[in-house]
Amino acid sequence: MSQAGGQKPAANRMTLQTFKARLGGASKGFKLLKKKRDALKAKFQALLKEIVDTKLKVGEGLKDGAFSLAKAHYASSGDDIASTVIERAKRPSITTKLYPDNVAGVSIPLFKMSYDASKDSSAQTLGVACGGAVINAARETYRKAVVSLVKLASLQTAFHTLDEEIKMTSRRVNALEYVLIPRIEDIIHYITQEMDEQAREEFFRVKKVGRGCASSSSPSLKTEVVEKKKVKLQKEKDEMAAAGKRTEAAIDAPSMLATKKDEDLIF
Amino acid sequence: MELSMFNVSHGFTEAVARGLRSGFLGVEDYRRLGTCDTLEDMRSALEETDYGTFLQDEPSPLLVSTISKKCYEKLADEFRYLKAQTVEPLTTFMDFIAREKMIDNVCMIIQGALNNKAPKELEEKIHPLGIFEGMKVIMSESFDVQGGFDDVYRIFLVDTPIGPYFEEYLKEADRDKDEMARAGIETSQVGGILTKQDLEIMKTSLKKAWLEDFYSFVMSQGGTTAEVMGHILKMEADFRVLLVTMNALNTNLSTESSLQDRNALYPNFGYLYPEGTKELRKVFNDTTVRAALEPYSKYLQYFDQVKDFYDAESGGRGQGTSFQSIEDLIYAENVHMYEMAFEQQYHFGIFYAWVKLREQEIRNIRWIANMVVLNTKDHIDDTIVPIFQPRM
Repeated sequence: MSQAGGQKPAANRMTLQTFKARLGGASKGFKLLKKKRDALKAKFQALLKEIVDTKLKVGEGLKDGAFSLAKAHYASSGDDIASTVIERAKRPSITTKLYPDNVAGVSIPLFKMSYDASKDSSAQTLGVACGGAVINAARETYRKAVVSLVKLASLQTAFHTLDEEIKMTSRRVNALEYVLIPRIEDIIHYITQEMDEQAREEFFRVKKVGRGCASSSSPSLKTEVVEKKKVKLQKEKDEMAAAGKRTEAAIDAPSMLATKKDEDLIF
Repeated sequence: MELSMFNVSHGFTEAVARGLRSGFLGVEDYRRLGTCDTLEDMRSALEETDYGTFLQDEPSPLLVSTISKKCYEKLADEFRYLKAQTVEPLTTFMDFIAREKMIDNVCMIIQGALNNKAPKELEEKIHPLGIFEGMKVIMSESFDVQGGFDDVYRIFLVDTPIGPYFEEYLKEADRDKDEMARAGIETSQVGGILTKQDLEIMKTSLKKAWLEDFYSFVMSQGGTTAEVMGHILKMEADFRVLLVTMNALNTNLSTESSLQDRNALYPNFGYLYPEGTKELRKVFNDTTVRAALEPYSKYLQYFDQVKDFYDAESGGRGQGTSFQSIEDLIYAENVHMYEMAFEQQYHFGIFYAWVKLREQEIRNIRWIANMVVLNTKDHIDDTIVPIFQPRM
């Protein structure tokens, strides 16, 4: 890639083609990335809405759970069941697995919950003398709350990952739009200009060479032709001055070749 | 005979108990507690009652469990004071009341030991009413499970009054399904037995043994005590049968193979005994329960009222907040029974009734505290049972 702002590359057709190809690639990439970023943003908004809903649900679920726990405390003749439950918990009956999910080309982690009721058995006989059923009811309520919690966890990790992804894509889009493409365009512009200059130089050189050969014929015609030449040169000089390139050297040189005046035209 | 001699030995204690009766929270107090917004408000509301400034030293923020614990400690203090004034046989009677809580404590310690919990944590959770000598010894050293169990066993069986219940349970627990119970237990085997058993079932069996022992003691007292306490304990036994049956309905205790375990938890006295329990032994779902309870109209009524709560569990999930479970109904019935006990004089029943009513009050306070914290104060009234409501 051109690091030094475009002074380096040789100004010929081949490099022009190369850079034109690069520009095409860059603009296509830019369009695609823009589409990806927009799609991600839309998903993001939807995700945000879902998160708000799920958070509310989790709040409700935990509140219900706390209420049923209070009921369980009351029913189990005021004993402290919380410690007993904790003591008896040996194996987890709810496990979660992490799965990768694909959204608009981005890989997002997702939690899947699996509930194995048979592992709950350690607490089945809890409170068989009093309050057992209420304790089980409390457990059911909390299990439902855990389901929403796992969902919320998935949503929040997805949110986080998407956020990172969107930032990165935005950065790339902006870089393409404001840095890369202008740079390539500058280079192309410079190359085209350089090539035009070269063409004019070539044209001019050929004409001068031709004039030099024709200067050996009649001197009277010579002055007319020289005058005509001078006018033409002046016109060209003005054009060059308008283009703003280095022209002074080219104009001063003809004094040596003023005697020649061959009108060989070059394409 | 009784009328004249009772007051000689027990007059003072009965008077103190009746004095304490007036310290129960009244309708006004419950209303005031119901309007609290935070636990701090509850603290100041309780200051005006007989509870006084018992929460003063607790740092804020207050927890529901702290309030509950402090209430129990107050009850334990008053209980110990009362017990200190007694003479035989009232002392044994009050000891019986405390034994129920001792069983709870011991089971909790065993559970904690099995999980290698630090003694400090166990100390936090003991029930203040059930403290006995030797308990400090068990908890002060950090012991490994196998070796420590020998000490624990020795202390339990020898020093405490709940030793015999343990012995009976261990014998039952160790036998195979077909053989008879063994004659005695070696010390070293205890650790092995205790680790295998389901502690919850052990606790329930111990309580059953305690209840039967209590009943025989009470009947041996004769007179009004036997009449009043006999009735109370019979109802207690019946409720226990009902509770075990209902709570086991949806668990694996109701399967064919485990029915015997469940039936071992039925006490061997009560109004349901022997015909009712014989029927109930075969029960394993709602319809069979209903059929077994047919002859007992009151229990049938209870069952019908709470049936929905238990149905909703096995099927879909009903609105748990509005349904009552059988424990709620039993508590209400118990309170009524205990209030009746105070109507008669010259018997030991009022002490038992007083302890149980205080427990119910603490349950009420705990429920109100939970509702205050959860900000669902409208549910308070569905569940608490007001004690000694004025009869208009």
